[in-house]
Amino acid sequence: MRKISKKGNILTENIIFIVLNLIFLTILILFLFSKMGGGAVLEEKYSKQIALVLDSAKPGMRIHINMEDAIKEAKKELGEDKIGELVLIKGNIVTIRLGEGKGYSYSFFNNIDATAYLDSTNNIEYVFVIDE
Amino acid sequence: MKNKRGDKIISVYWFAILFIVAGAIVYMAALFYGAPYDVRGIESEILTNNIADCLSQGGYLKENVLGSDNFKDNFLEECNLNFDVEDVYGWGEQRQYYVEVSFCEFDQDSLDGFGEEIFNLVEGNVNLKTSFLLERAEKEKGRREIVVIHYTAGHSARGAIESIKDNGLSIHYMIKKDGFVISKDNADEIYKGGEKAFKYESERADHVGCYDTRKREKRPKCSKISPECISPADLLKDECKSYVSNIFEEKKCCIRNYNKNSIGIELVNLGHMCGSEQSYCFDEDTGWSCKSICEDKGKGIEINGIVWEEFTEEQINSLVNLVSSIVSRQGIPIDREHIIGHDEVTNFKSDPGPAFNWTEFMSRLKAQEKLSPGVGRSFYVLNKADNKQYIIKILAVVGKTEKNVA
Repeated sequence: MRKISKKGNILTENIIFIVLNLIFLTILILFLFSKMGGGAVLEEKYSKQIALVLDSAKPGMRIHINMEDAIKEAKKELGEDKIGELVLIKGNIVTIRLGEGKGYSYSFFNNIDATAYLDSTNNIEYVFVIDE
Repeated sequence: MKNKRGDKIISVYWFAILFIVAGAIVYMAALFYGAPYDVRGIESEILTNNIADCLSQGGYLKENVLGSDNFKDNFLEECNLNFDVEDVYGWGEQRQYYVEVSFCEFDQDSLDGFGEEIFNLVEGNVNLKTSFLLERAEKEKGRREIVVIHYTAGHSARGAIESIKDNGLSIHYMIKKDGFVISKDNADEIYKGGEKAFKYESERADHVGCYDTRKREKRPKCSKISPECISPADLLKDECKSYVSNIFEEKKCCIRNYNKNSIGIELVNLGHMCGSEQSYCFDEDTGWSCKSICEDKGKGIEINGIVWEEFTEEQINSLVNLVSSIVSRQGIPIDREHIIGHDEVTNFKSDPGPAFNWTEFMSRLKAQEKLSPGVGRSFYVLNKADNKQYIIKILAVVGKTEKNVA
């Protein structure tokens, strides 16, 4: 009887050890994934990408940018009804907000008036119209 | 009991190590993903292009540039630029941009083409220029010091890449006769597996052999080769042929290896192959041979009975642009101490040879140096109004700091 109990102890300890290791590694991997594909990274990526596109843009242009991953993230964080408000262009600053935080802003130097709206035909692209 | 305690101790250590490793991974991930992605270089390029487009179109100066003072007074407005950014992160106060435009007459007698300055426009935060130049100098410190120019001694890039690879050598760049620049990034398109013959600028490439200072008369103990037999042309003489077989014994004369601090550029060119009957001097597909070059002297330059193949204009244009960007990136001075031929550092090498016009090449490079300050561009324009050529230099710096980028 005593012998069985000792064996049981060793097994329990090992299981606890393995489970703790797994939990630890899972947290680590989740952290890395959250950093890699997180809203903050997408906000920075798209605000800079849009600012660069607007810097190169000429009056009269219509520019389509596929923002599927950002829209997916925003749906998760803000809800379906807010996906049309992800991009804000105010003065010479582009702001992308995919969550409850402040979002990420980046400036551009091209003196243009641009408006941005979600392409409702596919709901994955944003359209930027540069006024004449 | 003893074992059990030992196991527990091992477990504690195991977790300690796991925490340290995890901590390091978390720190690195936070550092990597936390740092803003720097697009300032791209912004500077776009800014430069926008200004260039504003000043000229299709190689001609736009009419309003020299026509009145209005353009100079309202330069930003005329070029559709707005440097005043709404104050979100203190951007408005800091001024994120700097632009400098020098508009000069073209002077064909000047080494670099720059004549009298007509006007100079400066807009934005002038401090950014200073910080940009300091940052560049710091970044480039202690990197590559020398650019070595070679010829491939063959007629095709493919053959040269194959030869470099088979001999366990490597190079940084190769320029084809049509001016196409081959690097590690595109070598596979030219020759499958050719990527192995190339190195990135940050890596060492094995493209120069021993450096023997006999030519500079500093190492007398290595002077067993007659001075009459040092130049490649001399090696064709009968009395010098015996020295050729001793090339590999000459390593003891090596005093410096240039591979570790140099950038190697190959130009696809035959060099002094005239009269050679070697197999790599004959192409079965095209029937081309070195001999045909000798017979058609128009394609080469004859010096002391040896015909050297001429470099194409496209090759030299590409070389000027390539070396210009290298020296700008690496902070290499533009002089003949730092931009040299393979023949200047390795025994029994003749490349790039007498067909390579060093005087013209260095002049063009110096002109380019003044033209390209790293972030910017210079170009010639023709003014239809007075039918005169002008030269414009643009420097653009985007100086958004980490604080206001993030």
